[in-house]
Amino acid sequence: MFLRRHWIVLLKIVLVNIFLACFPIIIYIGLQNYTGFLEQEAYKAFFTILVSAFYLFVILFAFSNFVDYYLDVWIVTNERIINIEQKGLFSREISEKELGQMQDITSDVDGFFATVLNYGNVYIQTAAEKERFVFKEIPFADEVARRISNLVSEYQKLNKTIEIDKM
Amino acid sequence: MEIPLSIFLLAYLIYIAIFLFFSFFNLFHMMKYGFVSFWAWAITVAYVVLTALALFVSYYYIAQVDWTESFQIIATQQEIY
Repeated sequence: MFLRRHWIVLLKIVLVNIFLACFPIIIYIGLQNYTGFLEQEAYKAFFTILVSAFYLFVILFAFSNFVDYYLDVWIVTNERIINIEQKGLFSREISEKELGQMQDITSDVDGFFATVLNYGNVYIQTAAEKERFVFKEIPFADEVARRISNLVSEYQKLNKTIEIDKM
Repeated sequence: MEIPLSIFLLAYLIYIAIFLFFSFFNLFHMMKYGFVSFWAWAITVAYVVLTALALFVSYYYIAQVDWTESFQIIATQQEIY
């Protein structure tokens, strides 16, 4: 299984940035129609710089969010789970654990949109005391948790059989 | 009290440098880890094109401004009376 966050996350990024991009337009219309602020050359220059900086920020913010979304990946094989997370711009975390070390698998679908669009979090507690994997906002969270649970059972059964064969 | 407009231009140029620094690292991450699908490629190209367009439009407007002028924050007593 190759998992990434639900497309609603991308939609949120797009909507937030469209909302942000509308701000300078509204302020421009307000200043142009109701004040004489932009008639003076100096103020106009100041406003131009501010708007330019703001739009560059919006573009960078949108792309950074997309990079964060796109580079967060969870891979489940019939032997192990691999967790790849991009944490901001200068931190990337890759961890993997064998299925035999998985102890508790919980799925959590919380909220109106999560229920309607069928996405949620999956928490996997490993044998290590503190470590746990969190699959954030993945589609079909319940189904993914069930499948991982089945894979863990199969893995443990297979390992027991191998141990018995060795004896 | 007057502030030369060129100070804002300088601040803007520093901002652009910071913007390019962050852009570089975002593009670096995408090129190193992300180019496995058409969408990743398309969005990265769209980002570069949008950035270039925003910088070009900004330059077009900024080039029209006389940066030797000053920005007046508080009127002096002479100007008030």
